[in-house]
Amino acid sequence: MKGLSRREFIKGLVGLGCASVFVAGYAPTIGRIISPKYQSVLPDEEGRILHSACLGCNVRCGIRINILKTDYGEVVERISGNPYHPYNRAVGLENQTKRYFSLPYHTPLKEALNYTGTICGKGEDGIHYLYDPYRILTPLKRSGARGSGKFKVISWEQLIKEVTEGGIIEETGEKIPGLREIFVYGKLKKAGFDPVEVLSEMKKDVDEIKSKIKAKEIADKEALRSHINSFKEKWQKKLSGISLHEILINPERPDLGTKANQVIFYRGRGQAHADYFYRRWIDAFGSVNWLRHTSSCQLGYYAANKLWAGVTDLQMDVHSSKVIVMAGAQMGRLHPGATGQGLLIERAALGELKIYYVNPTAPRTSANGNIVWVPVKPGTDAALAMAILRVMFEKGWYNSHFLSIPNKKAAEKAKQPVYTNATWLVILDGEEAGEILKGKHLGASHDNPIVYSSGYRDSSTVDKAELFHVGKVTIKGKEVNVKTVLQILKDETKSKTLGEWSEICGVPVQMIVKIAQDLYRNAPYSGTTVHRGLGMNPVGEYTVWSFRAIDTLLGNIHRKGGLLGRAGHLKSNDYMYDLKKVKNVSWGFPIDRHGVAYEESFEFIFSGYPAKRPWYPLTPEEIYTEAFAGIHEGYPYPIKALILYYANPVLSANYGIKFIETLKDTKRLPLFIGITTTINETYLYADYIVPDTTYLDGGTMGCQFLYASSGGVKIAETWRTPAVMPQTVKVGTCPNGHPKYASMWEFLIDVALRLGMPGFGEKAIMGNPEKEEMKDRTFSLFCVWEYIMRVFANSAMDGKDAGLIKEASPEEIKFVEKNYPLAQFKKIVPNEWKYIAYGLARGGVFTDYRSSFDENGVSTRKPPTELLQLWNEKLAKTKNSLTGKKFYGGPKYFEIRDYTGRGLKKEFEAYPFTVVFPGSPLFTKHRSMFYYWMKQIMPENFALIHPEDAKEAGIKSGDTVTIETPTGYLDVKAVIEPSVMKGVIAIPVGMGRWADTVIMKPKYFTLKDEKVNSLIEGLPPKIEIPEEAVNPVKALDELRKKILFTKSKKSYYEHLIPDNWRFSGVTPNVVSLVDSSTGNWPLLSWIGGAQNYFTVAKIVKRREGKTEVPWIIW
Amino acid sequence: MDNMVEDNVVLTIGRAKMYSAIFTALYSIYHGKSVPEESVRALKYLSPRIEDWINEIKDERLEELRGSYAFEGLKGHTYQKIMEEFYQTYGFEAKELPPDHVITLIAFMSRLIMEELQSIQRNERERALHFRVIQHRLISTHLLELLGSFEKMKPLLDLVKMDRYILFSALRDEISKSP
Repeated sequence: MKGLSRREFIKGLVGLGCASVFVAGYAPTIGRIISPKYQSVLPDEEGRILHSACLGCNVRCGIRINILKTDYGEVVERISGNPYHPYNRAVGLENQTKRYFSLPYHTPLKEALNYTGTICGKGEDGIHYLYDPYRILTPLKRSGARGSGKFKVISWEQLIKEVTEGGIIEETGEKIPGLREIFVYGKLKKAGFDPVEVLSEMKKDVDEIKSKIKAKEIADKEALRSHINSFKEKWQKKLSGISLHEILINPERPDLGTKANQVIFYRGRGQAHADYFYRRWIDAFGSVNWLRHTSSCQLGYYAANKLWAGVTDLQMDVHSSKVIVMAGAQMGRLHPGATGQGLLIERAALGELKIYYVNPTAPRTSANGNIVWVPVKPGTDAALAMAILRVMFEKGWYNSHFLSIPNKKAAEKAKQPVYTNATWLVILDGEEAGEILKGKHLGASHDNPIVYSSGYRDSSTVDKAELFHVGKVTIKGKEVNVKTVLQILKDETKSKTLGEWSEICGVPVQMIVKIAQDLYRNAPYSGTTVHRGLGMNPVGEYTVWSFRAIDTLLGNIHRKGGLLGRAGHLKSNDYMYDLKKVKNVSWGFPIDRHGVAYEESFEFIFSGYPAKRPWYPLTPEEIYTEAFAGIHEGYPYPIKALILYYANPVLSANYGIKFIETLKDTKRLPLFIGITTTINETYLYADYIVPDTTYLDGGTMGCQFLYASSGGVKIAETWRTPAVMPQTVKVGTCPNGHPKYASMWEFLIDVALRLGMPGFGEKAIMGNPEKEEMKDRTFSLFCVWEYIMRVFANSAMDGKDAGLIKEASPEEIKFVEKNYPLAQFKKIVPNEWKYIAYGLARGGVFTDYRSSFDENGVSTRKPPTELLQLWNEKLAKTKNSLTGKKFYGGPKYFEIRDYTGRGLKKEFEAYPFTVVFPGSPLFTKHRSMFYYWMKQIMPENFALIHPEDAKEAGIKSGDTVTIETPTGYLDVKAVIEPSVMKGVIAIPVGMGRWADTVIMKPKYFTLKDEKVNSLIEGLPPKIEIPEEAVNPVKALDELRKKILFTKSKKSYYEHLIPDNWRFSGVTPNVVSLVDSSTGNWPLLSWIGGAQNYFTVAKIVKRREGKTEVPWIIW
Repeated sequence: MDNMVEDNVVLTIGRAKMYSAIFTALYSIYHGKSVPEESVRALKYLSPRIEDWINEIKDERLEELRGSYAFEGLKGHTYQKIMEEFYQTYGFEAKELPPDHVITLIAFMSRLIMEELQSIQRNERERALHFRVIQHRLISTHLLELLGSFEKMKPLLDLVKMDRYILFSALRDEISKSP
């Protein structure tokens, strides 16, 4: 072979490549000699293995659970990642070097069991949620004054009877009302009326008055009074034999709705299908008060996206993005969680992605220099966004082609998935100031927005229009100024020089220019990932919107590498069985006044501005502060009962400690039912405790959607199924022979059955009339299994018809029937079972990222929105309900202010430090304290202080410092690290508990408001509760107990005693900010009503400490 | 598919066949069996004299074609471990034959090209590139050095050297085209 030239060699290779010589027959031999390395994780002979959904945080990772069978029964032994799931990406054959993708969905289960997926520490530690010695297992009833900490065991039957019919606290003689008092549907039915018919007509009458108010046909008190009187007269006559006071909260104010609104179902952590289930229940009860915890979660982010795009959740593509400005988004905490974010970090480390980490605290890795920390002064992020936008405008670094498209048709022609209102004109002065200039303003017959394109033109008639225009038009004979939306934004960015913006936010000009340049050069593979840090403060919506303006200028929406909406999901609520609809009618305003305008209420006609409390017409979800303030002040109406599920507002809301005043007051809140796994700081005040199941033993079962960070896949839903049967007490058997265990599910079903609520019992569920085989069929709902099996059936059959789900092989069906407790209920859905088994075996339904985009890089899914708004007319027309002043209608930088718009700079002057509350990847929630293994890694939290600040104050790591905030004093251990900005103190949230079925009185804070402080001082010394009511650990064998709790004394898991490690650390929420303009209730954001998670502080005391600081701090 | 890509695919198929044929030939000789005709036929495309070489080594003992034997001292001693870790880094493990055996290295090359071809088929350019980079690393770091230490492997060494050139050129083009 000597002398073989390269040319000849290549020629030879090409010849060989084309020749019909096949040597592939030896591939199996090669496969034997060199093969993928993996460890077998096949099910133990003595155990089970299944796929489900995690609930360590909220991102819904896929998990694999190994369950061991022992002589003492089953025990969950290990939790790992589900390799089919897009977040947990397979570790196996093809993905060991780059863990980018999940296993192909149709990989046979047998093969998939050879692979594992990634999972974070919280996910693994979920075992200690299931086996928590503080878990409540039986129903409890208060046996002392509210908040006395005294509870006794009652039977399930007594629980159901008393919450529906009312009860007496025997020890105090207090009478507690039952839900029947306010169950209007039942009252009407009992009186011989058709409740749906009566309530529908009544609602129609109320709506008619409301529409007359809107049309200004009713403009004064007298006219309104007269309409109300006519309404009353009509209905008093029609409902002879039953007083209108029995039906309506206040017959003088029929707009408030029926008495059924006086029950609130408030949930904290809600996930499908628990969320849909109690929605069904509250709809059936007839109340509008189905509330969620979003104000303490990400409401500022949601509300801003809604103003901008009409949808709540849009984030950068984790797979293909090249530059991300990650602002206010805590690494390891933001969706897609610690595990999912591994992909971002891995890609950054390999040089595929650059992240500008805009945050007052540093990222925990620099990923080979590709994660760049951009320290920003807390609360000034919008100034940074304005600065970046200014550079983009000045340099022409924006997608003018995309921005100049003024309508949907033109966007389609240009192959753009969305369009913007950048070219639309806004009226700047006069009566219509803030409105988009429309045809009707100029006397045209159409009402379309007007743009400038060689003259003022109907936006629907041109394919492109001028981006920048300032002009004058005549409206109703008056000349007014107009500007394009983009001109307004550009002018806003030019309201300060780059140097001034830089001065405000603390980011150097050079860095600002570099970020803008990188974004533009990499568009559309560049954009912003923003989250709580931006949204959860008084001006959060404007801040998030300012960053989203950057995305708009880049034109990155619905594109590979750019901003994507949530993955789609299947029709799990109604594809075969209609699990949503129930026949009842409700109207009125929710207690927190979210999503409704003050001006729509009759109160506005009677009282005008200011309203008694703020209203939030443009927020998409619910508000803790205003719900509790509403209950406290009986505004807009008094509340009779609160059912609180899986929540802890006292601890999770800023200054939520104030809510205790309301919770403790039996007059303001006559009935408080808690559905929970442990008695936390909020449930301590409950009258009845319903023991609930965790996500591993039947809680929150169902098909979980994923957030916008789900990688742009078309369909992704994680199926949560119990790993073991409920650990709570068995409370009966349903008429169809299925077991019932104490839980939220069975509680709501049994209350509904006792009250005779529609949608429960016989013929409760309708078949989907659009499916021939389901038409006119009805099904019973007596237990959770009859609900949840139909949820999975809906999803599976939709998946099957969409070509995603196949019929499970006999082998896979056998596997599911051996391993999944849910399989015992397969007879509820006999026809759908083989398809359900296919999804269960894989832990859900997932499509592949790689087939999610077309050849132009546009997502093949329906765009999450059509129009992106850089000016929101609705917002510009909305008035602050306390001041009557209009809100500003576009992205803008504002200093921190209270609800009335009063700047707080002066009040903050005495406090040189800003305290931020970052989320920790290890402890995402206050409930996370049961994580036994995690707590050993991070036993307590600290105040992170910059070395220069520490030097000035003479503080060293391990010292305890007292910080003073406007509301109180907090003692916290200091850690001196340069990973926090100078002038900022960071205290990771999640710790500082004082009640969790046991009590350990907190000594780390005191409050300036003596009334609120006394609530803490008045905490009972202990919770008195019979030991037989708690602790699923007791049932385990000795060896398991020791393995689960290696570092604890036996007393922790055998007896109900407080163990110090569960109550370590502090929570800064207790000394957080309040708003004096709303009666010193917790400070919220203007538009969304999001809780505020920062405070200002000064260091007032230092005590030398010798605490050893663990190397992992947060 | 443009012409350049088409040519590259044909070359990759050619390379896959080449390594598969080399593997088959050596594996057969290792087990005292005759070399399958199709392997000889395949290799003849690259050199008409390949048959002579196969005839020369067909009765040889090939057990000693290992790094542990080839390199003296510490390197030789730990070479088995080095190769084990090399495979492991990329998610693989060697079975049946020692990890530092020439045949195992050739099998790994063959496996990597198969992965590359699969990626091309699925239009996953980045993944294909990833496997190509590993091939280049294997050839440059281990295979050439190991083949170079056995005189009787000289003809094979020439082929692999040529292959490294092809691979390097392709990688250089690919990387220069990256945004």
